[in-house]
Amino acid sequence: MQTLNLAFIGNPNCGKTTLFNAYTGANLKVANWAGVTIEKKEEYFNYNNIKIKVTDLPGIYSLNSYSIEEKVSREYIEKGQADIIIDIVDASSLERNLYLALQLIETGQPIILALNMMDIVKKRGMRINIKKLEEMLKVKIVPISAKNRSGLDELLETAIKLKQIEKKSNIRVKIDNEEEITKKYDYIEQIVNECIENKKEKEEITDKIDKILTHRILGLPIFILIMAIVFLLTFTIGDFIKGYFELLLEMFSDKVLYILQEIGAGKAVTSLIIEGIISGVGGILTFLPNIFILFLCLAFLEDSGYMARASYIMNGIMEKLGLSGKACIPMILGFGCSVPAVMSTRTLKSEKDRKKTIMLIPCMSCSAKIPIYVLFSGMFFGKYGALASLSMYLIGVLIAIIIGIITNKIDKKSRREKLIVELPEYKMPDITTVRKYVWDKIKDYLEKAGTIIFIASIILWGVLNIGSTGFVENAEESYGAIIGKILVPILKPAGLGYWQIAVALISGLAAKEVVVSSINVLYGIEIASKSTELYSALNTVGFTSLNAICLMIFCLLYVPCIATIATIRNETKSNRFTIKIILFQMLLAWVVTTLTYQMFST
Amino acid sequence: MEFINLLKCTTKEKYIIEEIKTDNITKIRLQVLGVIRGTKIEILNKRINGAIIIKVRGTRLGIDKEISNSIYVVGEKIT
Repeated sequence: MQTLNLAFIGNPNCGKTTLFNAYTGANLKVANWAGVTIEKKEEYFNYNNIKIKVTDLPGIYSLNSYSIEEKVSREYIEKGQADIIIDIVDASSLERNLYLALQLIETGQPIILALNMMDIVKKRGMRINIKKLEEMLKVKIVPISAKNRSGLDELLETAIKLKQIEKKSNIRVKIDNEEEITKKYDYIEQIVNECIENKKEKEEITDKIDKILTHRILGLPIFILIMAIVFLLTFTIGDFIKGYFELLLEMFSDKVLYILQEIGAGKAVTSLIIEGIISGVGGILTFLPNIFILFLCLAFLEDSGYMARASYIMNGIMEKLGLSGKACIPMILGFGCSVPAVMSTRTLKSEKDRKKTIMLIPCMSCSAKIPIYVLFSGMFFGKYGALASLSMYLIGVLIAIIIGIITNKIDKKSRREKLIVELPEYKMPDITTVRKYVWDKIKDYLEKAGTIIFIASIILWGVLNIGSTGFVENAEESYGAIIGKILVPILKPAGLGYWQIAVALISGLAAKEVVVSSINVLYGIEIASKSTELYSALNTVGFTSLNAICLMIFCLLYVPCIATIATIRNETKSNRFTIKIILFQMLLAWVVTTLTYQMFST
Repeated sequence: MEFINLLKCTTKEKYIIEEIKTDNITKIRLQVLGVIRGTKIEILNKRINGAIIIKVRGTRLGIDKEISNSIYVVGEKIT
């Protein structure tokens, strides 16, 4: 069977991802383009007995090789790997989208224009003369709506028919200078004048919404309010559902314990399974509702078109930190998970901006820290728990701002990237896209629970139950205690001078959620969900609400997990920078926590 | 004829771009988006810090103070 190679290309916000998702099933392959850290998505599927391979090129405005994304796309096209290039064009803003189309048509490659968002065009009462457009551009056009899944089959049919055409070898993409760009836009104006009827000049809904959301003064408070609502939902509704998850876990744990006793399993095995694995991994799984809601909100912000506005609204503040407003998006994503956040700094063109943003991202408290906050806030602050958790986010942001301002003062001469950001139309988020986004994150979380956290739980159990005399009854005699006790003097001024906490913090390097499982295991809590047990265990050793706050702050600021460190190393390709970041975070966490403890302990 | 700096323009008014005085990279970034000499633009929104939203060729663009300060325009009615 022959394979038909299709390449999807188009402007950012043209609906390319929605279209890709509409075709995509289970065979999605995500890799990186050779040599650069830009995601390369590929997908195989069958259509009427024809094997089709779709490659998703990065969203770009031109092929002039200004950015890495443009270079990647250009090289791909010049290599002639695609049988047919499908240029997805946002019909509702044809004028800007046609520039890339003209550049592509110039290459002489077989091209189809997929005229997307036809539903919006219709709704606005606009009419596009497709026949005329085809004539003027000398290219095949298929009207589609990725959102409504219409025209998708026609697009494939057209591509299959077009395959007969010989591909040109030795393709060159011309890089336009100012004069050529002007010429192209002149022609585009002519096309738009002749092909579009009933061009709307009326104020659109997006403009009405923007009047409020990007208001000159209110824009910022509204942004802060939206973020506050996101976290409030994460903690209130999330915690509510989490209660049921805990009940389930408890039932499961009891059941396993019963079975183990029935079959006469040994003490060590029972302890490993119940205290080590179920308490460790299961405890983490109960936080799924919180994580789910957070990512659902982020997906909503991104797909609705608000995220781009955030960089516009935050530009003023980001400038004070010596960054472009664009750096705001990676930071918001940092609330979800530092790994994709660090990766998304790729949209920043200047190396300096990137490194600085990467340095600040860990201050944006990631979702893996939620279990720590929820557990300790719940135990020590009762009904003010959600407030205590929220304050961690504020502290993180505040510290990021302080670091940003200080580094900006030190390094005045470096130029930051200027902000040019397209603000797409507001739209109802596409369900498939949101579902995919959230499911990907949930899958990552489950995978993490099944791999890193699973292994870390077993290792931790081993370290805490094995001492120089073999299997030990009392964790005080274990190897873990020995290691932890070395760190106690260092952590004491920070209010964390307990060997159990020291061990938990070390284990948190694997993944931040592990801190919670560790503490459960360390204090011999059999069922992770019974926080009252843990509370009394901590109380007896003099661990107060101040210590709890200190622990939360320390966890907020100290070295992000191994996965993040590896990503930082990968993205910056610099060992020195990575080590510097690690040392910096360690010191920062210790200093801030110590200050807090010393200030309030008297 | 006097060119006005975009920073000093008023919201809701329409203008025509006369000149862009900025570094080359920023210029190219603007050009491919169709922000070139002779292009009609409308100012939709201004933030207190000088960043603005312009409507160009059916697209909304958010640009910072530095860029808006580098774009010179004339009022549409004058030409």
